[in-house]
Amino acid sequence: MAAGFISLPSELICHILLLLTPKDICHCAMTCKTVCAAARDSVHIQYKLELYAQGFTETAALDLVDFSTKMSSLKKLASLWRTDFYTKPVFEEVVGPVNNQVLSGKQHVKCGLWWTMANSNLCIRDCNANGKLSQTWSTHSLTTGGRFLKSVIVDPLQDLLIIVSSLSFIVIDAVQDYQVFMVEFRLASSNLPHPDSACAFLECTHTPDAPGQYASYVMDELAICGDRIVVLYRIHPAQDLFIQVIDWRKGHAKSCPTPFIPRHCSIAQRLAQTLCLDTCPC
Amino acid sequence: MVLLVTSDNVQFQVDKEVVERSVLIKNMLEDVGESDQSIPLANVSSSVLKKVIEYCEHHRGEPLPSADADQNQDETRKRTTDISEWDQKFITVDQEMLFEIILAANYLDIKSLLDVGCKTVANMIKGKTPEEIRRLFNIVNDFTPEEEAQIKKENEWAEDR
Repeated sequence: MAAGFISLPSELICHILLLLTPKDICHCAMTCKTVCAAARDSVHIQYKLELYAQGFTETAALDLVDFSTKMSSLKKLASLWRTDFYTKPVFEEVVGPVNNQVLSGKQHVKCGLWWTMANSNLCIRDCNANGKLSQTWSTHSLTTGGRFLKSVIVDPLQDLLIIVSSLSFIVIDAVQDYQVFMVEFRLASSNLPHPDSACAFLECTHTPDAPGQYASYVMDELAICGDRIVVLYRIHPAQDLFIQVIDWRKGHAKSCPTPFIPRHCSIAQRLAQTLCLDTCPC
Repeated sequence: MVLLVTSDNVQFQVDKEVVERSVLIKNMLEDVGESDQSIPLANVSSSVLKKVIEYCEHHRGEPLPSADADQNQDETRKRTTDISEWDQKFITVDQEMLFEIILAANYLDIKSLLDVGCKTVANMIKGKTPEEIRRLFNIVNDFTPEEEAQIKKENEWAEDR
């Protein structure tokens, strides 16, 4: 067979697609099943499209995209690649309808995917497919062991599981940096270290003002937005709130000033979104 | 000198320095050590290997991308589809040869050549409609009308941005 675009192996098709704009990627995906499947099964392409739909574009200035436009793009994204992307092999097990009684945890919806933690399993459901496409990922190791408080957040779109462990520490010299919490980047589907991250875990530091004995307390509300994770934490016994923005792909953290103290979760979430937009390189 | 044998049984005598731009061959030579044995390239035809060697000759002596620099290079590579003048001229070939070069560069693990090939294809696709892309690459539309309508609906979001 003569060599041609669609006779290339799918990883090479994806390599080429990743050089294109999201619009061009979509045009290619509309040409035939081969290209469509290649684009749909590539996490990198899906991630690029997701970022684009969230307003993280490489060319347009973010300020020019208003909030409602971003929201409507997100809603449109819910129907993107919906046909069968989320039933691909990253999902290992198919379960029946989730029993309502076990749903004690917080529920999340993003881009048409619904998920929650139930009985140490992560249940995922495609909102657009009559509940048929439900999956569970086992997260047993999260509930066992560990002396310290752990906060967990999952992003099924990126097959990403973030675990933040708080640490207590004694400050002798106030000028120094102290390790306040540890962040792990894992694959949500298998609990293995995430291959796209530069490091399996990251130690985040904080410089206290005065000597003393402290313990960090990570607020439950972690947020993932693209490649950024926002961690909101308190240093006991002080009541101040601090924020660190972590780039989970590159494996580094940056402290951010807190413009105001969020009193409840929805504000924290919105604050997180704002911070992500502000720190996004473009 | 290293002796390469293509899929159509043509022999090429190439400078070691030139041929080592291929990470595959470089690793092979390191594994085998000094030897007069020829290296069979079952996936590469003579016409394609001739082009690949021409590319490697031209870029002889340039530093190979190291694993360390990979990350930063990746960033810039993804943002730009610019191709240098010589490379541009080099890669002006018919489509079949272009894809053969991409396949060979991938197989031989010559990252810079793979990039030039892929950027060229990306530039051909830029700004075209799905129908124009089909015509460009002789792609047969294998969607049923229902599937096509569905796919079109799923991709509408990217249009009005």
